[in-house]
Amino acid sequence: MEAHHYLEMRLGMIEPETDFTRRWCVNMGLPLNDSVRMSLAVDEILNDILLHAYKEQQGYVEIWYQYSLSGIEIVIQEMGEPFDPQRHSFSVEKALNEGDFEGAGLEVARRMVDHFLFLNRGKGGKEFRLVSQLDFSHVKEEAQNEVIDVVTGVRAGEEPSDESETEYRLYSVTSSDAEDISRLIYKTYGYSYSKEDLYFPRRIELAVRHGYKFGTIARTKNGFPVGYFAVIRNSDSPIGEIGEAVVSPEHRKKGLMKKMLDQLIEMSRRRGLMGIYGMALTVHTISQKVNETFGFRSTALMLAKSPPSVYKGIREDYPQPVSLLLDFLPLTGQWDRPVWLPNRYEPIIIDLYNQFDNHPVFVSLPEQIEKDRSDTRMHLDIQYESNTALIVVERYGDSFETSSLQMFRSIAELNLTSVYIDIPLDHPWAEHAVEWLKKKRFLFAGLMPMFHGERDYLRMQSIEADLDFGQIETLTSIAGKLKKLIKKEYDEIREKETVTTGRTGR
Amino acid sequence: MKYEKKKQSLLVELEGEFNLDAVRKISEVLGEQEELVIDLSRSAFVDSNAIVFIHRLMEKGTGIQLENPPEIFYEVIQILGLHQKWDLNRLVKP
Repeated sequence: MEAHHYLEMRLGMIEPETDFTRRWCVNMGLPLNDSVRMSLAVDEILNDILLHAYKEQQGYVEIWYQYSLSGIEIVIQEMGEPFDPQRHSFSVEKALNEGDFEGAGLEVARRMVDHFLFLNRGKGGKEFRLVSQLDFSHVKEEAQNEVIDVVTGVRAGEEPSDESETEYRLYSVTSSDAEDISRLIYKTYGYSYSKEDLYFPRRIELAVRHGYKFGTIARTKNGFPVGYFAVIRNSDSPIGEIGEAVVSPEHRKKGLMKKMLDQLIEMSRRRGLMGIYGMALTVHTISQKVNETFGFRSTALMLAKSPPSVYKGIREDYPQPVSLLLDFLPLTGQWDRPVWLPNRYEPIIIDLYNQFDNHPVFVSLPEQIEKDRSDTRMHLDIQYESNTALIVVERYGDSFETSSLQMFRSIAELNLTSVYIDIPLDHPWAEHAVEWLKKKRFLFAGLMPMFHGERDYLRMQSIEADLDFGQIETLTSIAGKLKKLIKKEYDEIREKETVTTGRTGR
Repeated sequence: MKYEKKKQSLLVELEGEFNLDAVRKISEVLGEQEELVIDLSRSAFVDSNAIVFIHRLMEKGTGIQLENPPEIFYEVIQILGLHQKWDLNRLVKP
């Protein structure tokens, strides 16, 4: 239920848009007060664009309404006159003493939301990002409102689960299971589970109701919840992440996880998903082993993907941001689009593909690679929680290099830990894109099968964090191979930077 | 927007937000009226353009009264520092 509006910038268009903003936010689960705040922020930004960027002349804005499990984000893009908000900041003193209210609109917008971001993308225009978090009550707060044992997760009058129980029934998760799921997570992991959303029943309820996740819940004969496994759908491709799994300790080693996964794979197939994937921690190899057992294969290693604090269960002394392995399981034999493999990474990409029974046709690079003469299209996704960003190239186009540079500049001041860029492999220009990105401090991350619009992508990454690769543990030989290649490139960049006076690139 | 002129007063009933669009519509009909009363019962928010409009009218000596402003109105004037300057007891009709 995401929305994308293309709006002619006229005064009469602003109120219908802010009406939509408020209703959409309410519909997506934001409380009314927060929805009003978000619509006021949108009003302020649109007025600023109308008055200052377009000076009430003809112009257009694009607005994206995006939902995630923890919040909603509204992205407003415009192509009006250049503008630097830092040079037009609001001052209470100036307002009171001189009647000068310059910057008032942006100040109000900034204060209405949890995150406010302005990105200047040069010729790519300017972008405002407004984020409001879904701030619902925690499962523990809900437990306090009824007589419940927070250790066992059992309500007053409810029978505890029987350890000798071996008969389980699996059900598709519905929004009414949300509270049981939160309680199961809390009972099993305390506060150490990495996906914080699962401690908020209302977030689960909304995500299930809106179809962003689906899953299976295992119950004993008497209906007691003992297991949960879910897939979170990708918003831009028919694949999903297996990101949430729990089995109550007393019901482990009874094949429940396998039964739930089998059902989940079947549910994913029925919903038309082409593949599912898991993000395995490299702090240890436990989750990699689970994925490997279930047939997932490692295709990429994302360095410094999340701060250690996100994973409450891991070693407290872990000294660096956590790197993650992408483990992929294709659910279809159809790999329709041929791919062009960049020379530099051809051997490793072939190894990655060869782990699967099927893979796309590999096409030889032509001697002369024609550039696509249409517009470059790329999309930016900022992960506020992990302080990282992903740029997805939808079309290389004529201005790939300049558009990329503008994108890098626009996010430079955010001081992100890692920036990832996904480039499509179904165009031979991938060869030049890789070589150009290499000169801009990017290094290999791996293969992202079917990741955007059903297309295969190659992911590259630019890492600001200092990493000790000895802290990154891998289980399989292919994951080890990925790590070795990535470490080599990482070391080369670091070495180059120590012999030059400053960093190159971004 | 509905409005009614009464001697020196302009009575306005907004059907939506108190925003730039409403500011312009009110300005068109305000003329030389000495008093402006705005009913905000149906407004979800009052934006910064509206706040600045009110402020400038007050500075010019126009008497203004707001009826039923939404909760967020008070937060916006605080962000803009005007709570230090405005007499809310006079501005907001009890």
